[in-house]
Amino acid sequence: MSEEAIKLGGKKKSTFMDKVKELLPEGGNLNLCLTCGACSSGCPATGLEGMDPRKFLRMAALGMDEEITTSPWVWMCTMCQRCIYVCPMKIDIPQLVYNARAAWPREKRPKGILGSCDMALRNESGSAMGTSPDDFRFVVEDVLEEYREAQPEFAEMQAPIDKQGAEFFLNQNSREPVTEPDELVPLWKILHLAGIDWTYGSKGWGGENYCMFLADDDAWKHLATNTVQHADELGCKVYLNTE
Amino acid sequence: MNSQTKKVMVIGGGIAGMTAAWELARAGVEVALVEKAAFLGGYSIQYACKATDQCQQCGACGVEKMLANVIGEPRIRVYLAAEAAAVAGDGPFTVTLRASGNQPEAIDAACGKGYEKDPAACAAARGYSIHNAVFYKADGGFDPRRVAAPESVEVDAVVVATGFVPFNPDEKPTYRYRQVANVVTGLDLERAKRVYGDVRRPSDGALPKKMAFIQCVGSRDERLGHLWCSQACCPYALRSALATRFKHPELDITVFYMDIQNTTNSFDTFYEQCRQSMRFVRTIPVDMYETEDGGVRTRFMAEEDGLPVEEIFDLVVLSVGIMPGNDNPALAEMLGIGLGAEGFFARPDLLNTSATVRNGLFVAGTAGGPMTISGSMASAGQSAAAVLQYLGRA
Repeated sequence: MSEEAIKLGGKKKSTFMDKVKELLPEGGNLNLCLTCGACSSGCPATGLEGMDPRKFLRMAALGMDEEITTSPWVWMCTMCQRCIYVCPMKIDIPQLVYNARAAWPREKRPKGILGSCDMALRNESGSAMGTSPDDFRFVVEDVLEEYREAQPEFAEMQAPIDKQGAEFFLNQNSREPVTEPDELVPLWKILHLAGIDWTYGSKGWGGENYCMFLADDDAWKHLATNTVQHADELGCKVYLNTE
Repeated sequence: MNSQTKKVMVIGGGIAGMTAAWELARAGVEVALVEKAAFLGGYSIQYACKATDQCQQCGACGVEKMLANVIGEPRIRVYLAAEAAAVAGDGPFTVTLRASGNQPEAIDAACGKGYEKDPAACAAARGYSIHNAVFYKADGGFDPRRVAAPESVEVDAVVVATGFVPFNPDEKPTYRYRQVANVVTGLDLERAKRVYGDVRRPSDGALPKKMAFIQCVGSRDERLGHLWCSQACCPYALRSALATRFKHPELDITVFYMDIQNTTNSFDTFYEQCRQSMRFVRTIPVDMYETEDGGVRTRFMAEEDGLPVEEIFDLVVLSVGIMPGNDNPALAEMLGIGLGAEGFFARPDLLNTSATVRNGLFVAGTAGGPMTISGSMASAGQSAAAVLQYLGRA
């Protein structure tokens, strides 16, 4: 009477997307996609390298791991999170992209980001420009002195480094002290006029974290720990991340 | 079955409530029809006819017809601007009504007899339909001969037909509804069609040349907790688009969608007609910017080549979905019947979807979940049948 049941082939192969799902709360909703394409309408990287967020997620869902983990498109994503913001199903596409980056051999990742991460690991500044704590201190003090003299209304302005017990710990994109030192000043002025008690740190003052964009988790953690620990050592109550 | 002496309250005077009331009255039951607004018909009476050279079966005229049936039916006592405050007993029930606080829309003197002179404009001012005119005196107040004042009513059964609310697009801020004048909802479009008899841009009253519909606004949305398909938006948007295109063949219409919900049993023919006269893009745009001349600039991904495109539309229509009524939690508690996880009234018996957990209380129409006008009428018919069966037993 009844025919023998058809047996499907062996266990489903674990795919890249399955692994990412395990890492994320609620599996990042990665299998809730209705393919509405709102992500691709909003994404600044849509159309680059023949890729867009909807296509990327569909390819991941189809188990096209090889294509997903080698597409240079993941490095064109700015991690702006626009896709998840407009997604009606709140699908964590940015984390899928991030983990696809992490699947690349470190030495093959884009040179600019890789070099900036390596620079930040060189000394305790955490600066992608490789600037040392001494150089940072020199620039800050030099610029401060110049403005206090040139603009008498800011004669009392401070730009402290390693001030114990300051309320706010402020970090700083390291391009300014190196290439545009005058750009440091507007924020100092605002903090001064607002009567804020703040400090830079000699360690971990570099605010940008290229190791995060490189998807190098260990280095990212190292940089973040370095700066937060220093803020704790100084007894600061609030960490002000300017990046 | 002898139901001559039976009395039923129907809470909600939209298409489901009116249909249930009329079906019950036709079977000899006395009906108290209670409506929170100052007119009958709910949202369904605000939708315009979508015929091309032939009827598209949208159901809008069915609502008019049902409203005419209800006002001509002596067994239906109508309470307007009224709501149920308490329901006591296990059948029979004592229902206490109170004023909802709504008043008939103000109407200028020109519309004193305006339903005859200028039915469209005056209908928009009060109750959207000439049939609602019987409820008002010339001075604008309710006519006490046609509208009963809130009171305490003894009934043998209660039908909950309190309907839905349209999705509020403010909850999806990238569409910038209310900030960009020519971004409207499907309901706004329908109301405007009832007033002007045609599609108009809000900014300058001009006929649009290039128009877009965006589907699934507020439905199928995990972020907002609205996972359901609202079922009515594909039908109303496509029929409205097709009817407008028929009237203005030069009009350029784009429909942005993720997939299309079936409308009727002749859906394949209908959909083919739509695809031939409009552009369908299977991507949902998200950002709306106002151009200097009132256009709406938006960006979306073109399907063919996967590249982003920017286009300017004269009018963007958001096909908003069907949401549970704002009063549902309070009503469910007062009535002693639960809500489902999605916020519509719970219908615990899958094979008898008008039954609630409380004997003698029934649900009809979109109070129980999303449905179209014809779906609501069918649901109300089932509820009326279930009530009659219950009354036969009671």
